[in-house]
Amino acid sequence: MLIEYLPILIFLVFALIFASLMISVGFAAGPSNPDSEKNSPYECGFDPFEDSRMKFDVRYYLVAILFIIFDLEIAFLFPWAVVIHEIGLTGLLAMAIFLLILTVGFIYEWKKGALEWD
Amino acid sequence: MMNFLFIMPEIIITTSMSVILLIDLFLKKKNKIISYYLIQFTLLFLIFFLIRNFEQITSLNHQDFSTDIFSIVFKTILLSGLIIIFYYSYNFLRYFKVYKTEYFLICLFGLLGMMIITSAQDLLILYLGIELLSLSLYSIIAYNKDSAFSSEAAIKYYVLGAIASGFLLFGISLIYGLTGTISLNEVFQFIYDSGSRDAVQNVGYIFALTFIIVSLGFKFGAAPFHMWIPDVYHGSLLPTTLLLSSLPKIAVFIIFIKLLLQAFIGLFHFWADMILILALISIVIGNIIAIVQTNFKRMLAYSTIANIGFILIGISLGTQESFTAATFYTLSYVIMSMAIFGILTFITINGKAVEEISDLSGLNENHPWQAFLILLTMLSLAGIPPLIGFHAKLFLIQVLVNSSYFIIALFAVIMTVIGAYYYLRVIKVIYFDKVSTKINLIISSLIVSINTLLLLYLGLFPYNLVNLSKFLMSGFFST
Repeated sequence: MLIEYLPILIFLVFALIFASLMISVGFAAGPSNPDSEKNSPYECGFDPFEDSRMKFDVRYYLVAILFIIFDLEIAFLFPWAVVIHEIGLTGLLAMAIFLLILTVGFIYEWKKGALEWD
Repeated sequence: MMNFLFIMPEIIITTSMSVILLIDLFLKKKNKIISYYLIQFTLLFLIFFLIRNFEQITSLNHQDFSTDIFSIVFKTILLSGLIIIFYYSYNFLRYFKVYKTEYFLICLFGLLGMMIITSAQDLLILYLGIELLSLSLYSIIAYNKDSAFSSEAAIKYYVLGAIASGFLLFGISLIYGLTGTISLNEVFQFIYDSGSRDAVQNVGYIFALTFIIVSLGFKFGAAPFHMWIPDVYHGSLLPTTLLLSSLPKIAVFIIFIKLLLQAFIGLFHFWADMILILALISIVIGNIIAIVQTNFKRMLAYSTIANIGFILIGISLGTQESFTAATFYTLSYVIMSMAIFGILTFITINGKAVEEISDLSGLNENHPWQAFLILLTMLSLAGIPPLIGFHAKLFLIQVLVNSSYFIIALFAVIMTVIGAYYYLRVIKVIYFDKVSTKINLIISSLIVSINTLLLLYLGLFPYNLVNLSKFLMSGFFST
């Protein structure tokens, strides 16, 4: 039964060989003459104006986390909606409790001001 | 409708957490004490609920979620411990003006995780409880946002804890692959039925056991997976250290019992040596590195590692006696740990929390009762009679000698003597050094005194606790 996975093993080995071959041949056969001008960052010929790292507003992170939570809630709602006629009242109550817990979290974040963008 | 009585404590906690969260949103800052009282009331209510419906709950039989006497007793222990810990933490947080109700609510999540652990009969439900506990602890450790040191400790614990949980899941999946089931009783039955195994299957079990024990060793704080303990104990606030050093140790001990005693007892000759090695290295590392520590919390962290080593010795022997000794040691260690961290929580040095051992020098001159309490806890940790620490260590060494592990018993005794140095050094600093800092008490707490005098009382009359440990372990050894 394990023998059926042999093509995958051959594929993995080939992929490894091929990728490492490409990188190592490029490394060995290519010219390498580093120069201080060649290694510096390029900004249309001028010296770099400022540090190229940008400031990151942490509110984006908060929005992303909140999105994940409610997106997973929706992801649970979809299969539930598909089989609701089979699971009846019990299924409805179970999902209601789940949604209730998440709503408590929603009220909390609303009151705490996590949804304000200022 | 199904009968929900078996999960009623967990439902009560979740509901009350949600309600208190919502109530707390609408309270003004000076009224936040109401939410603290509500939380304590909920915990007390839960204890009464468990004790009142005790026969009804223990007679239920649910396949994945056991509610037998073992879990009820441990849930009561966890709840009562948490009430005391919340009391200590509240005074500390209020005094330093960093109190937020969310701190206690996250601790309640951790409690929910621990209660799931005590009742789990299924590997995945066990994992659920472990993750819930760990996630709450990550947040609690990172509570002190102003200190970079605190955030560093939290990140360390988070990364290592996530890896450990990954290892645990991998071990569980290997067990599922080997036995075809994740229910603890069925795993035990499968290992028992499969009788003599060939070498390939043995390797599979050894693999799975290694991953699981590595992960649990990390969560317990056993060396060589102990690197997070000193940093996390040092970096977090004192109430957090108090919480970390007491209740999760009980929870992970219960996980050890459930996994090694209920499910994998048939593989005893595989995991016994693994855990013995963990235990011996922990005792050595904990006792020796604690000698050079000058920070009180770090010293207590290393002493935690040493005590965990002792508990693991009890687990590694595998007899009913040794598990009873390990349970007794765990329970007495938790009381000792709550006592010492509780005393430290109420002491302020120059207006700040206790950090260095030398901060407490000359405590006896101005606060003799506090000095006496610290004397009691330090002597108990060192294992001096007539305190409970002595009985805990004695029971373990007795069990070692009864099973003819003479060299390990000798080793444990020598390490205990080496370890007594750093406890006695604290006593020397408190009683014989000159006062160098301004020491004040937040309040002079009665509960702390009772907690510490309990060490003396249990040391004089240890048999209640020993009988409790015997009774708890008797359910697993049906002979």
